[in-house]
Amino acid sequence: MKFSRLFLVFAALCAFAIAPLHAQEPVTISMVHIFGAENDDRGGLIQAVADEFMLANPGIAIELSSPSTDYIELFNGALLAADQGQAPTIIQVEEGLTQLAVDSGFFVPIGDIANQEQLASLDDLLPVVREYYSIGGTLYSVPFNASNPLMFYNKGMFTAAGIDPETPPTTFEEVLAACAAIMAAPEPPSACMNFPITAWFPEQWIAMQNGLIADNDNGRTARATAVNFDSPEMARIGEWYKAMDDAGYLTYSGTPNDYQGEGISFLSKTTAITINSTAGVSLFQRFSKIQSVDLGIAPLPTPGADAVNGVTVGGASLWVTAGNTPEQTQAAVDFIFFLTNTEHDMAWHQGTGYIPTRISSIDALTASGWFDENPGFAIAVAQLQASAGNVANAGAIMGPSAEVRGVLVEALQSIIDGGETPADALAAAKSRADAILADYNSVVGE
Amino acid sequence: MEDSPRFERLWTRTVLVGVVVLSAYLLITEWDGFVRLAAWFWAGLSAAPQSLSNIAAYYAALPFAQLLPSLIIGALVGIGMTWRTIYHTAQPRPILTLLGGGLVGAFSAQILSATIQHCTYLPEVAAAETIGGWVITALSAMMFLVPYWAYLKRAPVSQAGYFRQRGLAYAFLAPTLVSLFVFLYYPSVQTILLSLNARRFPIRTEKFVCLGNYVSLAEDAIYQSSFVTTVLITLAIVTLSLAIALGVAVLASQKVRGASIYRTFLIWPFALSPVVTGVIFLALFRDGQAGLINYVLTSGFGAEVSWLRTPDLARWVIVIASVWNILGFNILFYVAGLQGVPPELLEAAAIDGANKPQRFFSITFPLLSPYTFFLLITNVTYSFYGIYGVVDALTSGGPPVGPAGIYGGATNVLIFKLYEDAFTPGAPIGSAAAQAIILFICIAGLTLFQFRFVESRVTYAE
Repeated sequence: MKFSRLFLVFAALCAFAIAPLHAQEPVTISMVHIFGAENDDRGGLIQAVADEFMLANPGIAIELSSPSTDYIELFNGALLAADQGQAPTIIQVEEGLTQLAVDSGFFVPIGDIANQEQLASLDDLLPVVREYYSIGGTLYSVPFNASNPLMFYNKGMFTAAGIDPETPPTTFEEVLAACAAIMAAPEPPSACMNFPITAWFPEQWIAMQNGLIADNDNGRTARATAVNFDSPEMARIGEWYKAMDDAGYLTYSGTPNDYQGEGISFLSKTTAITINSTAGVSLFQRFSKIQSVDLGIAPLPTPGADAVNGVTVGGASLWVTAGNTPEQTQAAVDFIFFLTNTEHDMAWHQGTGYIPTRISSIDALTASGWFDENPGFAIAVAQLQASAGNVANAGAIMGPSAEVRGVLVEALQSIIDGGETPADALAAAKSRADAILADYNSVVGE
Repeated sequence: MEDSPRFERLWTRTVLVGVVVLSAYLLITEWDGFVRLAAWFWAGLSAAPQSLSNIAAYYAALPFAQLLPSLIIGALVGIGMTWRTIYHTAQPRPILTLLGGGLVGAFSAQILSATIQHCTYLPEVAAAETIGGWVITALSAMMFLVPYWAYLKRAPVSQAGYFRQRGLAYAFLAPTLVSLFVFLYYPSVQTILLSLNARRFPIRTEKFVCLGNYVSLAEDAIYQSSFVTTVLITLAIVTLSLAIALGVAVLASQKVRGASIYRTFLIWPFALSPVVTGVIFLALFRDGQAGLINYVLTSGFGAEVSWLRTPDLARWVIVIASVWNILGFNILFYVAGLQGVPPELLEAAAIDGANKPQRFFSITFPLLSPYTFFLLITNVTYSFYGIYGVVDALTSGGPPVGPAGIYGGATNVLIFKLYEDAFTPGAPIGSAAAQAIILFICIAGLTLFQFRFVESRVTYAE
C-alpha cells in the first residue's frame, strides 16, 4: 500500500519532468540587454517591439531579460552561460568589446546569415556607424544604441563672464580663453570645467584629427599590435589636459569614468562647462530645470580648427550567438532587423535619446520638426552626420581594449594629479599598452 | 513546561512534514539543476578510466631525468620529516617506517608535480622556476605524509561511543561533502590549473606556461606595489579598527539610560556591504564640491582638499571607510567580551588601590585577549579580501603612481587587482588565478603565524 502510493508520486513526478518534451513548442529565442534597472523604461520599449514582432510571427517566442545593467557583466555572464550550452540568442555588446567578441568565436557574423534584402537595408545606416561594426569588410553586428559626447554649459555663467552664451567655444584654445574669462568673473565657479576622466573623449579627439589610436588601421586590417599614444595628435590632447589643470580650470570627482558624479557637479553649479554622453541629454534637461541652470548644449570641442574629421560612435550593437538551430538563428536575425528598422529606430531615439542610426529615420524626424523642438538631439545627430566615416572615425578595436583604455585613463590622471609631463605619461602608457597587446596576441594567436 | 509525549510526537511530525515538503519543493523547482549536477558527476566518474590511462600515457612519455628530481625530493622530505616525527615515539620497526615515509613522500610528490607536468624540471627553465618547483614538490609530498604520521601516532581506538552504522554516517555527511566538493575543492583545483596557463578571459584558447604567471608577477613593479599597499592598508585598518572598537565598546558598556539603543546604532555600519560603504564615502569625499566634506571645507575655510586624487590621502580614505564598515562587528564582540569580565576581579583590584587605567590594562584587556585574537584574524582577512567594494566605489585602485601608473595605483590592493585581472573582458585570467593562489597562501600563512605566535599570549577563561 505504502509502496504503491510512493510509486504513484514518483510516476507523477516523472510525467511532470517529461511533459514539456511532448508539448508543441514555437521557436524560442532569447535576448539579453542592459536596460533592466528599476524605473528604466527603455527595457519596456524593447519589450513593446518584441510583442509587436511576436504578434506578426505567431511561431516565434522572444524572451527578453536583463541579467545585468553593466555591459561587461552582461557580456561575461552570457559567455559563461554559453560555456554551459545556455547562451542567449541575441546579446547586446558594447563597442569596446567588439574585437573580443570576434575573437571569442561565440558569435556568427550578421553579414553571413542575413538575407540580401536585410543587408541592402544597411546602406541606410550612417556611414560612421556602419564602419564601426565592420571588420575586414565583414559586418559582425547591427548597431542598436548609438551615443556621442556633447558639451554642456551654463549660459548664466557665460553671461556673467561677458561671453556670448550663444557662441560657445568650439576648440581647445577657445575653451581655454572662455575659462580665463569665466574664472575672472566676479563670482567664479570653483573650477571652469569638469568631465569624466575616461578614454572615450581622447579617442574622439584623435578621430577628429584624423589620427589613429592603434596600428594596422586601428586594428581593422589585422589585430592591433601597438598603440599610438606617442603620436603628435595624442600629445596635443595631453598638453591641453595639462594646460587646463595648471591654470586651475579643470576638475573631476577623483574617480575615473564617473559620468554621473561629473553631471551632478555641473548641475550643482560648481563648474561652467562639462562633457557628457548624448545618452544623458534628457537627464541634463530635466535636472537643469530643477536646479534652475540655463543649460546650453554644443558639439564636443575639437582640438583645433584643423581637426574636422568628426567623431566616432559609441554605444552597443546586437550580436547573434553561434550554436543555435537554423530556425532560431533566422528568427534572431529577423527580430534584430525588425528592432532596428526605420520606424523603431525613430521610436527608440525619441524614447531614449540614443542617436538614430538610419539616414531615413533622421530625415523623417527632421521632416516632422522633432529636431527643432529638441535642439540638443539635433546637435548630436549633426555631429555624427558630419563625420567622415573613414578608418580614423571608425574607431580602434583591440581585444584587451578595457585594459588599454584603463592605461590611458591612468596616463591622464598622472598628468593632472601626479604632475607628470604629457610626454612622459603618454610614453609610459604606450609601453604598458603595447605589452598588454603583445601578451594578448601571443595567447589568442591568429 | 514539561513536553508531553503527545506534544513531542506532534512536534516531530511537523518537522518531518516540513522537511519533506521543503525537499519536494526544492526538487521540483530546481529539478534542472539536480539533473545537471548528477550528469556532471556522472561525466566525471565515467571519465575516470580515461583519466587513468591518460596519466599512464603521461608517465610513459615523461623523460626519466624530469621525473627523477620529484621522486628524490619527495623521498627525502618523506624520510626526513618522518624521522623527525617518530623520533620521540616507540616504533617497533623504525627502518621500515622511515622507508614507508620515503615511499609515501615520493608518491605524494607526484600529485602536484604531475599537475604542473613536471615542467620546472625541464633543463631550460629559469632559476626562480626551479626553486618554485622544489617548494611545490615538497608541499605536495606533505599531502599524504600528514595522514601517514597520524596513522603512525594513532591511539588505540575505544569502542565506546563509536558510531556503528558507517553508511548512515556518510549519508548524513553527503550534503556537506557534495557542496564542499562542488563549491570548494573542485574550483580550487581548477584555479591551480588555470594559474599555469596564459589565457584571456573569456576566450577559450590557452597556452601552458608552467610557473610563468608567478614569475612575471614577482617581477612586475605594479604587483609589487599592490603587495606593499595591501600590507600598509591592512596594518592601518587592523590597528585602528581594533583600538577604536575597544574604546567605543568600553563607552557603550557604561550603565547609562538607553545604552542598548546606542549599541544597536553602533553596530549598524556592519550591516552595510563594503560597496554601499564606498558609495557613502564617495558622497563625502568627492572632489569639485559634489562631496560633502569639500563643500563644508570650501564654505567654512575657503579651501579644498583633493582626497581621492592624492595618493596618500586616497589610501587614508580607503582605511577610514573600511574601518567604519567593520567597526560594528568589532564593537559587537568587545561589548560581549566586556560583559564577561567578572566584576569581582575589578572590585578586588579597586580595593587593592588600582586606579581605572591600571584596572583596564591589567585586568580587562588581558581578559579580552581571546576576543582580540579572534578579531585580529577576522580583521586581517577582511582587509585582504573584504575591501574590494570600498576600493571599487571610491578610487578604482587609483590614483596612479608614476607616469601612467607604471609604479602601480596608490590604492590598487591585491584583491582589487585580482578582480580586475580576472573579470575585465580580455584580461589575463591565468595571471589572476596565480594571484588568487598567492593571496590564499598569504592569508593561510598569516593565520598560521598568528595561531602559532600570537595565540600563546591569549588567556582563555575557564
